[in-house]
Amino acid sequence: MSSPSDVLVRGSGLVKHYPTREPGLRGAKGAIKAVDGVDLHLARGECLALVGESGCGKSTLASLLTHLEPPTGGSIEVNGSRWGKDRRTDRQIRRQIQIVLQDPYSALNPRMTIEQILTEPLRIHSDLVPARDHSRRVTELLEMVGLNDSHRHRYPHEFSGGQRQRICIARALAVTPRILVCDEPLSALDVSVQGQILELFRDLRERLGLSYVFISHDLAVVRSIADRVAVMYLGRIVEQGPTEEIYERPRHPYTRALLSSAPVTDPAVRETRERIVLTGEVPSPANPPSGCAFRTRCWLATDECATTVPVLEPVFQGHEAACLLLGDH
Amino acid sequence: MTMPASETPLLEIQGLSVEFRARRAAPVQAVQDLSLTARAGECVVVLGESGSGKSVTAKAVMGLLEGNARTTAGSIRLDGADLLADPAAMRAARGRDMAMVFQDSLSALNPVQRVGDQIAEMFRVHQGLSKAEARTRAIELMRQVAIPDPERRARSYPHQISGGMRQRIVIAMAIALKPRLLIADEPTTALDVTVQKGILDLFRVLTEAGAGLVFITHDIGVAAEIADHIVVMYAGSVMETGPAREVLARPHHPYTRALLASVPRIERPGARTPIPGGLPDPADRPAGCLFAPRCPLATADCTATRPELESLEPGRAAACLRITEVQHVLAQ
Amino acid sequence: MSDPTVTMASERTPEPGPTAGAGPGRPSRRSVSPARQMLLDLVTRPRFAVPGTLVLLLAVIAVFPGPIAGFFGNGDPLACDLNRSGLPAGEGHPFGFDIQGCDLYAQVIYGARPSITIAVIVTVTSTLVAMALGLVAGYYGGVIDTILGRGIDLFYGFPFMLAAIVILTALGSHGIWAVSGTMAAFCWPTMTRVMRASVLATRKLDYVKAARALGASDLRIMVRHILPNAFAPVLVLASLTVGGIIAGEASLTYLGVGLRAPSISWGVQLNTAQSYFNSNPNLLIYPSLFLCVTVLSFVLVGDAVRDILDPKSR
Repeated sequence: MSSPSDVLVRGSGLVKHYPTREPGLRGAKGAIKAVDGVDLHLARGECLALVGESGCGKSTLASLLTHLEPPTGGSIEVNGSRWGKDRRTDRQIRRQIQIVLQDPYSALNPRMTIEQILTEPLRIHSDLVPARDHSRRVTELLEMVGLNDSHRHRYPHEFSGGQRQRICIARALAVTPRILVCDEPLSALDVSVQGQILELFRDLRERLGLSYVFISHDLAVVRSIADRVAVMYLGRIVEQGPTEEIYERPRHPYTRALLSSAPVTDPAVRETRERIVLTGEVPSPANPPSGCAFRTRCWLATDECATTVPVLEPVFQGHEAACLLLGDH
Repeated sequence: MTMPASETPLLEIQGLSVEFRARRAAPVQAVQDLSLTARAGECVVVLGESGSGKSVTAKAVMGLLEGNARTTAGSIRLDGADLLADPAAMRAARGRDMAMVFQDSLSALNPVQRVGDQIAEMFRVHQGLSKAEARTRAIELMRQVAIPDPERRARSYPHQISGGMRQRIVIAMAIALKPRLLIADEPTTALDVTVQKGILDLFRVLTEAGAGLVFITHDIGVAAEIADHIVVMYAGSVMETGPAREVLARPHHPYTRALLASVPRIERPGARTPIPGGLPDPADRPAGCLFAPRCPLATADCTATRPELESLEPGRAAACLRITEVQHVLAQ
Repeated sequence: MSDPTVTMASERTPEPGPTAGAGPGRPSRRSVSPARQMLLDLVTRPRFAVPGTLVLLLAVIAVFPGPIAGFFGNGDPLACDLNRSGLPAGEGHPFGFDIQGCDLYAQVIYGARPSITIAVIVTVTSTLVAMALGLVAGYYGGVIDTILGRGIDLFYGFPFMLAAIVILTALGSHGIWAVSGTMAAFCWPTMTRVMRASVLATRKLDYVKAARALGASDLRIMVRHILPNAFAPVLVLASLTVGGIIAGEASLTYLGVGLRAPSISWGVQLNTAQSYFNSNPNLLIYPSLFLCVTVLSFVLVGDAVRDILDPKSR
């Protein structure tokens, strides 16, 4: 485990509920429990991956970490400062943690040139770079992400998906952050371009000492970039630990099912691996099952799973899982 | 339906070219000189990135091309009958002999009709069954595509059920009239991996029961899971084709090789080698080999001459001028 | 991939190499901003050319009625001679004379000015009001949005014509400003709704999220990111509304609650002409013809603008 001073981001008891209301005058009030009690930490220089299927809350967690939405409960500290304390602190934190979004086609304002897009962060944080150096900074940013300086007067529609994602990354880097939260940054890109962007993330991490919270549904991509993986199911982390440990020795039944479902290219591996086909569907986050949220689809579930909520328990160095049956399998 | 993989191919596409006419611009070649053979009980995967022409191929086979697209050359034969030459045969075959499953199951279903009724309608319209009979058959079919509690699910509207279940409903409708050929265009792309797994298993069951399947995808992992035969497309042309195991284990074409080397694989962690450059502009494609601008082996000849698909060994072919060099490397 | 030509177009410039920034494959073109491209598309559109020219002509007529009315040598609409009351067309008087003995051609030409002035005032003010209110309501939502929404509902409750007649009668004033103000009061609510919906859609886009993550102020987000990308539907609606306003103004005037003589306007002319249709049909025909062509031109221009700004309706 990392010492406290090495922890760059720490989220404690994070909860995000979206209130809902049944139709009708006396409709029952409820809540979609998108994130329902998450503790996480990110060490300096680390890449933490959040994996899970749609609706597990990983993207909501990304907007909590970057304070695009305030949490319903819990708190997030970035480099020792707490989000939402006051405006000045928030402004300082924004310079340290930035977000790269999934769809590069909607993440760039179509009416701004690349230069305007990259200068905007410098205008917002005007004490960062003096105005006369803005142009030089834009050149620097473009170079950093592997784009030609002559592109600066062009509009987003003139670029391919991969190039747009590079521009998005450059915009996030404009305020010299220490942490990038990447929310499915590859899934809108072509297969042959995904590799380039992944390589860019790797390269930036080395050159700038960045830390990543990397959100993805692609388990192969996660294995190739993450140091540590947290698996989410219905708003909670059900298992987390070092990447190789999780992939080689998954302990939670959900992680095992997830890994066994990922497509494998090598026929030899495909024939020998564990085959688990999950039955049933992901329950609604508005009405999660009692006890262990995964029990409705778990082939190992017992009566106890319906009554007791499992908590993350250490199983190996830095490897934790939340399952009542850890000792049994 | 129980016909074994036979000599007469179920679907035979030869030299198919499709172009899109654009307003105030030269026509765009979406597919160029594509040939493909699908047999009963076999799954052919068309693997390609955006702009490779894979979806256009699927639509051309079904006769569902948009107004600004037209086939300029080639033939599409279903059981020997040329569908392109005979629009009436195409209409008759659609639904009865061949059916298509799209990526977006929500827009493939009527939002204001119960899913059970939508399946039943297939039987009522095409086979003239009574309401009660059609309903029984629909529920049977839902059970066949592994929908739990089909009686209850039949009464749901499309938006009330999950994406995975919806895709199963769409598949049920596609197989309702027992077509011999199924065409699936990225049917699992919108789904989570655990759900995707189930759908792929379902497709495998259907091919094992004797249907021919043409499966379009951009995902190499998915292709590896389901394919018997693979056709690799790039920028509208076929780069390489062959039995799935062979193509994936010993790719010959530099594009296939680069793609397999660049994509992260769950079973093989570690850094990969990305492919430099980007996809060619469809309105301004290279004169020579389409992959030449990104190819590590490209020579001056490659940028001047467009290579033809040439047979390497029975069942395998690749379109590359430097294929002997590749084979040399492979032999070492 | 419903239309590959569209998908492919987005992949136009090649990917640069991963190491150095390789330039685009083709010689650099001049980058055209999306707004300028749309304007270019609009003016080169054949369906825009005819109504566009007519609208331009009408604008010229409205601004400089004198020289155009004087084309046949008798350009003063108020040079009336009761002796010539209702005379038919003759030398230098192509449309004949009205009941007061004024040159009908000059009268009709001068009649364009109030119609177009009112149309411009109403459209511009209601568009500006709609943009501001829609932006604030759509961006902030909550209480502001609810209050504004109910306010708009209130306006929807009144039938436009009836309400306009009541207000203009009560006001007792019949100048251009009174008529414009009354019509604008019933024009902004629809536009505001459209603007609000468009802002709601734009607000959810990722570039707005990214700007917020960078710490951009609400004002910056609204002005730099949302407004330029959300106002197109309102512009479409505005251009489609102009024709309706001209027709509405003529209707109010005809009913006697809009402009009144001695103002010169098509509505006033129609009002007078109705009593003399049997003896002098030209008094009704010429103003109606000008009114129809004007309304139609504005509507067709509006259609062309919609085609360009809203590709879905093509």
